[in-house]
Formats: sequence, structure tokens, C-alpha cells
Amino acid sequence: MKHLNIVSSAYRATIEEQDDTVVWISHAMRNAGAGMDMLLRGAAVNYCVRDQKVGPVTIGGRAQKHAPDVHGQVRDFCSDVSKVYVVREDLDERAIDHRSLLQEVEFVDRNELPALLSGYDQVWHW
Amino acid sequence: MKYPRTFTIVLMDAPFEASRTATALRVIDAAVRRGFAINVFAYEGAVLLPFSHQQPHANLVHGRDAEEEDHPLPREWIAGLMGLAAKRGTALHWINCGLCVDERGAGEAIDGVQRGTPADLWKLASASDNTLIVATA
Amino acid sequence: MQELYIVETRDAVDHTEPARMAELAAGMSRIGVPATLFLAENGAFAARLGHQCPLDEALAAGVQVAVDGFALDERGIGADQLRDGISVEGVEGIVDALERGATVMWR
Repeated sequence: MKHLNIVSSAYRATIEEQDDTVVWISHAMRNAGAGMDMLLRGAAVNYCVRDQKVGPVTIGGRAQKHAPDVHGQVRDFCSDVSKVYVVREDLDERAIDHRSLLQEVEFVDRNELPALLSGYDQVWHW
Repeated sequence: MKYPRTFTIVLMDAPFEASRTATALRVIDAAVRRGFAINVFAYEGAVLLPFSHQQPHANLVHGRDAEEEDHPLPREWIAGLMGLAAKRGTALHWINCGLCVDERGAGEAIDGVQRGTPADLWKLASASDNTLIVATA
Repeated sequence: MQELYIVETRDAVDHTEPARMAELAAGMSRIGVPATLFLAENGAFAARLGHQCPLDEALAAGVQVAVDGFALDERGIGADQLRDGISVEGVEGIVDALERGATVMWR
């Protein structure tokens, strides 16, 4: 069964959770045997941008050990068995230079989305 | 047990935070009334929906004490849906994501709530006729 | 994918996403995949006649558009104030879509 997870919200509670929870659950389900691709759209296209830096946060003296690495999460999801697509217009609307992106992602235009999505048995939009 | 149709629904919002929670519960109610079996996988804040320590309160702006206000709590709606499912000969299985429960201290839930993992979500969805993600906005 | 059913809960004036979802639904319809937009919660505002909104293109492309009657009542939108071509339904429509095997997206 071909499955596509669509991620559109970005940096939501990522400091508290130390992960993007939708990218995380995608990994976890793939580890459990799910055959899964991912589509990044909306603000989540920024996850493909390299050289993101966020340090661990200290609040009230309590220091965080592991800061989130949302770019790394997406990078690690790309593999021989999982494709990661990113919507071109969503990058352009945010003035994101395509050269600054993770090499492994595949671009898809908005008008190609119907054809892309219709090829999957299951599409989950988070 | 085999049901005529089984759907898996993922919820993510904490109680009293988003209108989609009530809308999703209305959908679940409609599905259960039609005899469909429902698996709910509660992710993130939604693990607090069946939290057993939810308490009703008065509403002094409206001049109502707690009894008059009679404020339905999500845990009551969920317990009601579970009972309705049983009466209709179907089932509502509620699975809380375990890690989400731990980080929110939401371990005390109403009877019938189970604890699970993303692997359980994948298993449930794979065995269901359809899956609906009600993600947080 | 045999059918796409989108539950749209956001106000199309405040948010850009409803336009993206309407475009997706229209695109699906054009390639022969039946598509429905079900307007719920603040998504119901788009059902009100009078302002330009992303639904116009979707309706023209053959997308079925329905609105939750509960949401209309909640917002005081009368049946005489609706755009042409929009039907009023309940959340049972979502259950119907799940039963038919549609891909249901909740936005």
C-alpha cells in the first residue's frame, strides 16, 4: 500500500517536544513497517533548508540537552524507500533559495499535486 | 471481532482548545450510531480528552452553580460514546499515545482507555477500512 | 485515490490555506477524481454569498461543496444567504465519505 504523509505546519511546539511530532511519528510508523513518502507544503517547506541552528533552551535554570533538529529529521527520512517532496511555489512565496535545500528532496509544482496524490492509496494530511 | 466497517481517527487537540474536537466527536457519534467501529488514536494534547480528573465548575458570569451549569466534560462524552457503541453492538477503542501521556502526566484516564504507540496506529490503520487525521490547526 | 473529500474549518478571509485546498479539489476534479469540500466551523463563512472567494473556482471545476448546517446556525447564516451550488449537510456526510473509501483530509 502506497502511503503519503503531508506536513504543512512548521515549528509547532518543536522546542518543547524536541522534534517535529508529525515528522517523528512518520519515522516511527516507517520503523514499524509502513511504506511511506512525505510531502512538505506551506511553512513546512522550510524544513528542507540546510544550516538551521537552534541551541538547547534554558528556562528557569533547567537546561535542555537536545534541541530539535527538524532539518535533520527530514534528511534522515529521505532514503531509498521513502521520497520527500516539497512544493515549489511554497518555497518561492517564502523566497527560499532552492540551492539552500536538502539535495534529496524532489520538487513538485502545485498543479502537479493532484496527479501526485492520486497515485497513493492513503494520503494523511497532518 | 469483525464489524461492518471500521475507521481509525487520529485526534491531536487538548480539551477546550479547538472547535475541531467537538466536531470530530460529533463525527464519531454519527459513525457509532450507524454501527461502525471506531479506533481513536489520541496524539499529543488529545490524550487529555479522557483524563479522569476533569471536573465541572460553576459559571458565575451566568449566575449558575456547577449543578445548574452542568458543563459536559470531554471524558463524559467519550464514556458516553463507548457506552453507545456497546449498546449498538459495535466498539469505540480509544488508544492514547503513551509518550504523549507521559510528558503530559495524563496517565489517569477513564475506564476503557488503552495506551499505545505509533506502531499501534499503523496496525490499526492498516486493518481499518479508512483513516482520518484530525490534526491540530 | 478514488475520491477526495476535504473538511475545511478555517475562514478563507483570514487564512490562505482554504484557497490552496480549493485549488487542490479543483485540480482533482479536472483529472477525473471526484472532489468535495465540506465547510465546517469557520470554514462556513465562505458559504455566504457576497464576496469573492476560492470556492468560486472550485464550484466551476465541478467540485461538490457542502456546508455544515450546525455551523451555519451557529453563525446566523440563513439558507437565503448561501452561494449558489452549495448544499447544506451534517457531519454524517463525513461518515458517508469514509464509508465510500474517500481520502478525507481535515484542514
